[in-house]
Amino acid sequence: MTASEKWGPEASAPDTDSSQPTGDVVEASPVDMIRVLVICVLGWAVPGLGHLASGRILRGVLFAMIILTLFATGIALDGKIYEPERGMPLSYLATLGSAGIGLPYVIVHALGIGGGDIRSGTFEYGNTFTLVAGLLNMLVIFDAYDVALGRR
Amino acid sequence: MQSHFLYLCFFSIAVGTVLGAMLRSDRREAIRLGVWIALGLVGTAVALAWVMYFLSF
Repeated sequence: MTASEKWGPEASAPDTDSSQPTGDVVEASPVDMIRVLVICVLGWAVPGLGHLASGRILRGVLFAMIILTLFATGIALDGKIYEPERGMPLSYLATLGSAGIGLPYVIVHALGIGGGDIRSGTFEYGNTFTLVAGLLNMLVIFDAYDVALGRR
Repeated sequence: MQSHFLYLCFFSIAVGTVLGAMLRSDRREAIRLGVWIALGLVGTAVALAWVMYFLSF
C-alpha cells in the first residue's frame, strides 16, 4: 500500500507493517478515556466531528457531508423525526435511531419541523433517510471511538 | 421531483460511501467496497421489485 492511498494522518506515516491495525487490545489511561469520551460526544453531536477532533480530516468532512445531507433530504421529503409514543414500543427504537444524528435532531425538534406529512408520496422515503442518517452516525461514533483509542 | 429510482440511487450511494470509508483504510479498497455496497443495494431492490411484480397478494 502506498502512502498516497491512505486516509487521514496515517498517510504521512512511514509505510511499514507496524502502521497496520494489529487487533490487539489497547490500554488507555483515565485521561485518554476522558478524551475518547469527549470525541464520542462530539461525534454524536455533529456527524464527523469526532473524526475531525481525532485528526482524520478527510473522513470527518466526508461523514459530515453525507450524513447531514441524508438527514436534510429526509426532512425535505416530508419525512418525520421519530419521537416516543405511548403504546407503540417500536417508536422508542425508532426514536433511538433518529436521535443518533445528535444536534440536528434537537434543532429540528426545537424548530417544530420534521413532523412529517403522511399524505406525501415521499413520506416513507423521508422517514427512511432520517432514520438511516441517525443509525449511520452511530456507526461513525463507534469508528471514532476506535480511532481515538488508536485501534485504526 | 419524485423518482423512486433516483431516491434509491442517492440512498445507496450515501450508505455505500459511509460504510466504504469506515470499513477500509486503503482509499482504493474503500471506493471499491462503497461501489459494491451501492450496487448491491440497488440491484437487490430492483430484483426484489421484479420478484414482487410476479407475486399476487
